Amino acid sequence: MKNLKKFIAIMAVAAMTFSLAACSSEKTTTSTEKKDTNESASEDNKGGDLFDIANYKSDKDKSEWTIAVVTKDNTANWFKRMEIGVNEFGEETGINVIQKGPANADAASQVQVIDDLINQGVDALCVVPIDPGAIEASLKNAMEQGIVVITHEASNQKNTLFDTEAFTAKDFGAAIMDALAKDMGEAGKYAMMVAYTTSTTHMEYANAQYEQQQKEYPDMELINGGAIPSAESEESIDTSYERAKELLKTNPDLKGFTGVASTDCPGIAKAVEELGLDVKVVGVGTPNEFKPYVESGTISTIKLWDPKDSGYVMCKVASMILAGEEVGEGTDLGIEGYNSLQLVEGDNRCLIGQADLTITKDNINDYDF
Amino acid sequence: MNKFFKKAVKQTEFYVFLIIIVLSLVIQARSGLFFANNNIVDLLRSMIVPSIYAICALLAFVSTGPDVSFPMIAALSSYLALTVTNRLGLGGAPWIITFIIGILFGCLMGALNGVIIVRYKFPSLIVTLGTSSIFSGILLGAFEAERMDLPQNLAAFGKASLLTVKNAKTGLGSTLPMTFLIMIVLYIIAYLVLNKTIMGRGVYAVGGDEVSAERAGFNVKGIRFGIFVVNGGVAAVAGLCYAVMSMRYLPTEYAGGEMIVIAAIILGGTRMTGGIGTLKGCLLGTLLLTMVSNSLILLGISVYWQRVFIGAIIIIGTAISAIQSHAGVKVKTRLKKEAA
Repeated sequence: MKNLKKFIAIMAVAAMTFSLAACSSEKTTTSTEKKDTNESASEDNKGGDLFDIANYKSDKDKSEWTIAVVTKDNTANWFKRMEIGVNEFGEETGINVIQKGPANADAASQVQVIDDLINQGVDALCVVPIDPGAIEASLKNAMEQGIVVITHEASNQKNTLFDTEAFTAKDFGAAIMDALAKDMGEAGKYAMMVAYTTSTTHMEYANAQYEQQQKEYPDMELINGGAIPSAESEESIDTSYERAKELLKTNPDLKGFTGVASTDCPGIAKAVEELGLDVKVVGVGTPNEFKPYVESGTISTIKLWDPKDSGYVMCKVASMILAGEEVGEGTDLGIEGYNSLQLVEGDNRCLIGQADLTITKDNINDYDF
Repeated sequence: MNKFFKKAVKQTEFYVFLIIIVLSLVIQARSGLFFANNNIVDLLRSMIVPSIYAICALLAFVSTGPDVSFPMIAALSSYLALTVTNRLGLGGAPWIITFIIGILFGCLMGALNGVIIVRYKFPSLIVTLGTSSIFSGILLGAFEAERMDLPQNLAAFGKASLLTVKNAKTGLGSTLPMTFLIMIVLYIIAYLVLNKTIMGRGVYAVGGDEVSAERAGFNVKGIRFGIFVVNGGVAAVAGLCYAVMSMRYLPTEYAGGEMIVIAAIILGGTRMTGGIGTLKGCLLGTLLLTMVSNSLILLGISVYWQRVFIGAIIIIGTAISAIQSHAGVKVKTRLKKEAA
């Protein structure tokens, strides 16, 4: 009995130290590796080997392919909607699809999920990165093993064959600003919120909003002398609420507010309603979650793209590469908004559609997600 | 008065209090909004959850060592409480029923921590890191918890307000939720137990010197086990309060809450080596950090510098109390030498 106890104790200690050591060593290796891959990635880019899609044609039968989609946070409605598109693609084509998300919405957990999937030997990885920089090493590793890598919402991801976007960040940011300007009568002060200043796309939207406002709406003014963004929500509704309240207190003459993460607008709208102010809120998020605020008029317009289509598009592009088909400028993916893709080469090759959605009080009931 | 002042100067809490006063005057001078009634109420609202967590952190530090599992216990036990309430159709029952269900689950999870730590004498940091990882896995993996609306009883509780103020000048209002009362009640209970009962004194004795405490007749293992069970229950209350205040259950927003709370109580004078720490210090430390993170926009600090600022406050605050306590030790050793 005593021996058994000792044995259990030792095993528990071993397990705990092992898992702890595993965590810490992994973090350090990824960060050191990252530097190397960034350098070597640019070299490979010149040679074109790793990024030549012809090398990724699969010899296996279609029914043996597995396409894995990695999201930021599978518990969010947004990614549940994406899963519908992913599964739809699977049913239509008979290709194996799986969608996975990290246990916590942080970059390190996402690296873990990607590495696990690489070890499982999937044929294609479609990733929506939390922090593109943190997963470069893993994605490069995947590509070296012949796995097709497609990303979404990461125009600065280096190690990817294609990044797929519903629209250019610039067009979308401008569209958000157009909606806000319309709702607040093209005049007055406004504020912007993003999840983190490190979220690339959020910052691109924010910058594009500001540019559009400077160009088209001279009577509008971004608070704090044009500092972008006005606040960070840290992907939390409660933080968004507290920051919004603070901004509303310091700027009692605020007329408009934009939020580009799905956590931003509910927090902002809650603060606006509680303070009883007339502030128009325009932002990105899912219709179901925003419905009460849209119906009460606080959130005047939702701008978004359909994550269902994004999931479908990532899988479709991956499957086309596995089948050895051409993908590029003008490719037709066969769903609305993605009938003639635009190819933009920057940090990576970006496939861009024209698929932005505008949801207001009038059409919110047409979208159930 | 002089005697009172002399005693106060020796306490870490006094210095934290000074920092709070100075900081609030600076914020007031820069924004003119700090002492507005709605700002004070907002501040109190923001303090509720972190200061309940602070009780968990304090009890653990004083008696045994760091506990970092409370945010995940909060997340998992509130999820279970809400699910059980929904499944059993208890939506019409008083809110306290849901809280009791949550507390039971929380205590159970705390007991798991307690058993491993006390029975096998493992370091509490490692054990609670491990269990919080397990709880997180169960919550998001096994249960696939998602954002969900609250049952009727909690939604009604969340809408009820304790106090509503309106700033006459700006016309902006603010409401203090009922959860504030829960926090006050918890602090009163904790104060009475820690300071007026033998068991409470035992908590400090065990952390101060385990061997002496045992010789003095305290049940060391029992007290430590009890602490972790209580911590689980308190964490569950904090978790449900967070859900009630957000009016939704948000499973992914709990993780990562422990560090700022631990920083707050260390600021408030709790020693990492055990045996020392007060509830007053907890409240002041939490108030200071909540104040800092909630006033950066009022101060007009750019988003990019806000984290730097929070970090600086933690270090400066801890440094001041550390220097002051080093000074205390020097005086004591000098006195001892003189006596010898």
